[in-house]
Amino acid sequence: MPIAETLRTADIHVAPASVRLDAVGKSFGKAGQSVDVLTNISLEVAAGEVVVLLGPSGCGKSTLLRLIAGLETATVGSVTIDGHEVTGIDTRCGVVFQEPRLFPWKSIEDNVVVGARGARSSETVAALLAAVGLSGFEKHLPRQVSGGMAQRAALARGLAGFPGVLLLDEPFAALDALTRLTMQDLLLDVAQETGATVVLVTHDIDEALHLADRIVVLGERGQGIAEIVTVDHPRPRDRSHPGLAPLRDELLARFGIHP
Amino acid sequence: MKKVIQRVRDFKLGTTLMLVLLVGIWSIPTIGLLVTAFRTKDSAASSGWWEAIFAPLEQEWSLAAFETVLTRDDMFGSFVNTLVVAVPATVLPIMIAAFAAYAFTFIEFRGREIYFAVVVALMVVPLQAALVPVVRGLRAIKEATGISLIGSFPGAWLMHAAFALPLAIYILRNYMMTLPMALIEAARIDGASWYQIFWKLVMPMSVPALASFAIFQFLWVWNDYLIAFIFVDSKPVMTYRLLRLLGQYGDGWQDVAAGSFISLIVPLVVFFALQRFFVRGLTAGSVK
Repeated sequence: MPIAETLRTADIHVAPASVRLDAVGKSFGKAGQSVDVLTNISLEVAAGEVVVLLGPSGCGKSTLLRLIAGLETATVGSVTIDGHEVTGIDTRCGVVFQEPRLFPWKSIEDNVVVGARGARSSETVAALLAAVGLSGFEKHLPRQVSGGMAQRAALARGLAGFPGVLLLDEPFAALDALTRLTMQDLLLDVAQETGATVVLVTHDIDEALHLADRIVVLGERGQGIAEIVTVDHPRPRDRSHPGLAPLRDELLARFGIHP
Repeated sequence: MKKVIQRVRDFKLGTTLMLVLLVGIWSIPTIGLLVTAFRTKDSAASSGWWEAIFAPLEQEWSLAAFETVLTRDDMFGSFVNTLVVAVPATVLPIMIAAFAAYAFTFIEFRGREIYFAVVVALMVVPLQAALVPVVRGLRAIKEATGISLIGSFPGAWLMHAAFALPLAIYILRNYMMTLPMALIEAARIDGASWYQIFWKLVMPMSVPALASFAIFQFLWVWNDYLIAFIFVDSKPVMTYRLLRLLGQYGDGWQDVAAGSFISLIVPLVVFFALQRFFVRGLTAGSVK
């Protein structure tokens, strides 16, 4: 695991941060015709925990993530990180969006450097680029690489800041199936090595089972948390471990698919 | 399929013909100016420039007009004066308008829409109507504080800047509205301040709009006579000199033609220098 070694030698640790959502609700639109996307969400994510948000389309997964990052303000309730309320965009968080959102005039490498916020060594940046499989593409511009590569660059940028709370919004959705598995393991390596708290949004039940300490299943829009599933399996996990099968069936059944 | 190709070809031919026609019509005055600039005073006065084109050998040609322009009065000094008026009068409104448009686009504050509507509404105020109040105001400032803004360059800069601002803010805001909000969000997540976002993101991405407005504003100021005449009367600009070249009885128009051509060089240079910034797709590839 070259990335884990690099991080160990660079001695990168982040201040572990806990995330607490207290009866959070969020509505969009004008009063009278507003849509309640989230209602009464209470959740506590311990420092260093990996929590995966799972739910149907439009249930407010992304909105929940944006609330933690401070990109949106909760209509009711409060969001706190390490006991401090989130009021604006919060620098303790790093976000990997659904889309790459790279700066088009900066090279792949410079984009990652932006995410590193100037504080990290070039070895760390190089190691991250290598870990996401972009060695040799450092000097390319975002439009010169494929969509999947750009998304991996965005992942490297999100990781490069080594934030206390890492928020990922379907970060691997645009990747091919094999790369997706590699990137999942990379994320776990980085989280484990640095001690960062991870909140990840996904549609993919297998991804959730592989990554999560706990899976938070959101109900239909505005219905709050439907269920919290604890995945109590040691890491590194075997994706085909028979012990995960009952959990998978349970989650599939929740989404209306009966195996 | 063949028919379609034929139709496309026809369309292209039609477009080309139309363009050539329009360019031709628009070029006529300039050609007239060019021909006249090389004629003598007598031939310019006795026959039209179009006659000179059709019978070039029966004409007297000379460079006398250019000689007059370059030697009489202080043409070079006026050239410099015009530059001194035009450059700040272009840069100043663009700077202020960029800041304003940025705030109007990205920063939420109370009454934003109303302020913007007022700014846009100010576009209808004609500059000529405001001249007298402005001059009186500046005179009052001079009496009260001793700071003289009339008869000097800063007065002209302020006047040009102030009347350029509504349009500049309007154009720049409309352009900035099209910039990807997603990128700005990403930058904020990575810890960029509003100030950094302005300089490192919004300004580079707004270059096409900034460049096109710069061209408009520079051309307008360069060719302006009224404001320069009123506010910088002690330092005559090019347009003032050109008017002088016409002479008391309007018999020096070959000189005006030559002077106009010399005056044309700078706007042309500015246009071609800034034209390459109209790069489309600068933001392509940042967001799907």
